[in-house]
Parts: sequence; structure tokens; C-alpha cells
Amino acid sequence: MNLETEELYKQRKERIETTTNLKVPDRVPVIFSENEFAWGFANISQLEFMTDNEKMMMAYEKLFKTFQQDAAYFEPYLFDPLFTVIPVPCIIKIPGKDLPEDSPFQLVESEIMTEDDYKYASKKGYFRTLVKLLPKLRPEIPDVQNIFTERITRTVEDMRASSSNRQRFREWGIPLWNGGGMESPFSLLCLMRSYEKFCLDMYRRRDIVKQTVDKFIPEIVRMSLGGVKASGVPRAQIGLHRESSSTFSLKIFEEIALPMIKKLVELISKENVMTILHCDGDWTPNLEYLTELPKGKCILDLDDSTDIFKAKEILGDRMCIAGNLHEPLFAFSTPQKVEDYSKKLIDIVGEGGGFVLKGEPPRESKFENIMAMVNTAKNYGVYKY
Amino acid sequence: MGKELFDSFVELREDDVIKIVQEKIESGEDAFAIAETCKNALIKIGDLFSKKEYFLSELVMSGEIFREIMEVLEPKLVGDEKEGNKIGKIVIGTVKGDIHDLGKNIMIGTLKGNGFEVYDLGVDVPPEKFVEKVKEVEPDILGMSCVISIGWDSLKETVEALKRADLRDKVKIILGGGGVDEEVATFAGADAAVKDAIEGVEQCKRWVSV
Repeated sequence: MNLETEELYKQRKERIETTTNLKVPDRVPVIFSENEFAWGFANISQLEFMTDNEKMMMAYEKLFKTFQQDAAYFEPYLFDPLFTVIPVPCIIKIPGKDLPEDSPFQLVESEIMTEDDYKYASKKGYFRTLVKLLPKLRPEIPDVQNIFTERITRTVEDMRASSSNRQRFREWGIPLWNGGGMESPFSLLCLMRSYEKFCLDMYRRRDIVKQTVDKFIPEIVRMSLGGVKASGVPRAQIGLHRESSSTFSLKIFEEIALPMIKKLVELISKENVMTILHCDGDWTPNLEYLTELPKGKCILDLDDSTDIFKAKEILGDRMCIAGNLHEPLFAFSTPQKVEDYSKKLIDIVGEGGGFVLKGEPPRESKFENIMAMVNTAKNYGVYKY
Repeated sequence: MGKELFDSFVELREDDVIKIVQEKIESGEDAFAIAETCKNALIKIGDLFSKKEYFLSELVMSGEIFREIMEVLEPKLVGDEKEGNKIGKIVIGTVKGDIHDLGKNIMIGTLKGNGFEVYDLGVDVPPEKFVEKVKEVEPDILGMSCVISIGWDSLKETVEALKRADLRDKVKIILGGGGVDEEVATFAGADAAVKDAIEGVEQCKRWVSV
């Protein structure tokens, strides 16, 4: 590693840590999810980005060297159709096989787990339930349960590849945003049951849903911390894709999701790791509940469905907030509009620190719009006190 | 008794609702009148959703209860009563390249509960299939669902295909799904983009002037 990139790496790492610890950094850090935009920007197909390590890393290198953002949002993993079941327990349609090469992989949400499976899941936990359901999840792979358990014991090789990729990120001066992570127990169950069936479960068998969520928690924490240990980055991301008011009522949130989030944060922070709450959907009505979480132990990662200004008002003194330039802004808008919205975020949500400017640019993004977001953080996001 | 059924349904007490409906049928009450009470309860549930007192999970549960009620009532309904009064016709589908159907299915249930005649084309629907169906059934509205950005071009291509077939001016076009907003609607040439099923149904009702 040369001195210049080593220095950049240290600066960026420190900028992020200062921010996530609710202090005032030199300037607002800026990050964005790379996986949708990187491959087109590097003139390779989505399939190549997902399956060819060298091409994926070439695309990341081009992206990082061009935009010089403060961290990599995603860990540099290749797509694995079998192991994708761990965070996404659904049937999937794969680019180049079921879908065109340039399509993202897509989920088919169906009732993989039946109501009768709750008894097993609530006693045996997530991993064993997942293995039990594998023939339904990956019907195209013969003897999938044995292949899965054999391969999972050989993940050392995969971890080596990933560690070498992370090292290359470091050589380019780019730290990781999250060190590991998993989908939350509530969201995992929802995906396995399918959204509609899971809604009905809330009325017909809420007790066993709750018991199953509770049973999954320690495993999900262990899996998240496993990644953190491997990467050395003290932030674990918990995917909260189905907990918000966009999908379930506040009553259900209060009774099942909130106690789960509190427990996850408690167990993760015991290991001196910060929890990134990756909040999909509209969390605005849920924000008040999050004041019950311990101060300085979480990061609230929001998309544009949540009122981020309200989040600052309610939670700004308790947790770092990351967000929230929305997808169409990158594709259909102008650099001036991106700059204006980024400035508004920096002025209001960035007041007093504890804010990461974050966007999720889609494949159709204009280069100059992403650059406008990054440059606004670098030029306008400087703290003058 | 009508009030008891209405309240039980609005409070989503599934077992109570089904029991009351069965008792009413056994005591010879008019099935059509029972169905009307239940539809009014659905409208009330929609109001509660708009006020953010109810959420999507409650809409899904109410759709399930309504389905169960209709299973009991349908054999007793006669002639036109089975169909109910239709207030408008809509063709709906998830656009080419996108295979998500969750939001679309919730929208379809809500539209049906509100008296729309719905033609569901499924997922990954190419522009020509939308055009063909619009030509065939002459709907008031075309609904397109799009969850991921890969579908944005498909939305635009479908609107262009309708223009080429001289059908664009004959239908209102509504977009739904996590991947759309006003900017996407403008890009695609649609008339509206909505955030959820209730907002969608309200927009559709305005278009058919109900």
C-alpha cells in the first residue's frame, strides 16, 4: 500500500468512526451502494460482476478511483446461488439462467415454510429450519441439503478470497461500511412464510411467531458477529426489510419487532460492535419507538420512504443517521437538484455531526448525479467548528 | 346484527365474523344485504388505512376475511348479485423484466373489494401483451406495477406501444410499486404514480367519477 492511499484509508476510517460515534468529523462522510451502478460503469454485464471475481474487482476499482467515496457499502462477495438462501430464504431467479444477463437476481416470494413448520422452527432455530426447507428453496439442486452442509464447512476458502478482496479495497484507500450482517429474524420468517401468509399469522398464531423470532435471535447475532470478526470492522448490519409501517402495523411492531430489535442491539453491542439498522420502507411512525434503544450503539440507515428530517429531530442525539437520496433522483434529475437535496440533508440532518450522506444509485444513474452527491459532501459538508 | 357484523369485521375478528355470517345465512337473512354490510366494513378499513390507524397487514387480513365471507355467501347469491355493481374496468400487470407481484396482488384485492372489474396479466408482461388486452377489453384504466429500476424502460415502452396503437388517449395509466414515483411517471408518460393500494383505488375511483 502506498503512503497516500494508506493515509486516505485512515482518514476515511476515522471520519466514519467519529460520525457513527455521534461526534463532529472534519466533514460529512459520503457513501453509496455500488452493486447496481458499478458493472455498467465498468462496461461489463451484471452476470460478470456477480460471478467473476477479477471483473467484479476491476469494476469496484474503477468506481472507487473515480468517485473516491468514504467507504464501500457492500462487502466484495461473488453471488452464490446456494448460499444466497442464508440471508434471502426465497426461491430466486438468476440472471443468465432464468432472467436476461443484465437483470438483477429477483425473488419469488412464496410459502416455503408452512404453518406446520413453526413448531420445528421455534424449537430448532433458523439454520436447521433453513436446511430442512432447502429442497423447496433450491429444487433444481439434487441432494441440496448434503451439498449445503458440506460446502458450509469449506467456507474457509471463500473467506480467504473475500479477505483478499477486502485487502485490495484497503490498498485503494477504501474502508468497509459494515463488517458483517444478516437479515433480521422477523424479516427472515416473513420471507419464508411469504408476506401475505405472515400477515395472517399475526392474527392466527401470533404467539408462535414471537417464540420463533426469539429463538432465531442468538443465531442471527452469531452469524453477524462472525462476519465482523472476519473483517475487523466493528459494525454489523441488520436488514429490517419487513418491520416498518409500510408492511406491518405499529401494534405488531410494538409487540414483536421492537423487542427483537432491542435484543439484537443489546447482544451485538455487548461485543463492542455497532448495529447498523438497515431500515427499508417508511419508518416515520416507528421512529419514536427507537428512542428506547441505547445511545450511541446504532446507526439508522434510511431510504427515502422515511422522513429523515423527522428522524433527526427524534433520534439525532441517540444514533448516527445515514441517508437518503432516492433512486429516481440519480436517474432522472440534474446535478444541481442532487446538490440542492444533498445540501439540505447536510444542513439539517448533518447539524452537529452524526450524519452520513448516503444514496442508492440504480443502474440507470447518470454519472454526474452521483458525482454531484459526492462532491457536495466533500465541498459543502465541511464542518467549520 | 348488521352493526355486530360490521364492527367484528372492522376489528378483524376473523372467527366472530365467519360465525355471524353463518348464523345470518342459517336464519335466512338476505345474502346480498350481508355482502353489502361487509363491503361497507371494507370501506371503513380503507379509511382507517388512509388515516394511518391501520396498515398494510390489516388490509391483507381484511382481504382474507372477505374472501372467506364470500365463500359462505356465494352459493346464496343469485344472478347479478354474484358480480355486484361494477364501477370501472382495469387491466393490470407487472412490467417486463420485473417478476414482483406482492403489491400488485394487494392492489387487485382492494380494487375488487371496491367494485372494479380487474384483468390481471401477471408478471414480466411485455408491452404488446398490455396493448392486446387493452384493445380487447377496453378498460378505463391500465395499471402497471414496477418494483425495480430495470422496469422503468418497460413502463415507457408500454406507454409508447399504446400510443402507436392509438390507445393511449383511451385509458388512464396508473403506476404502483416501490420503484415508481412522480418522476418515474413523468419519464414513462403515465398519468399518476401512487404509494399504496388505497391511494391507488382512490385515484381510480376519481377517474371513473365515483
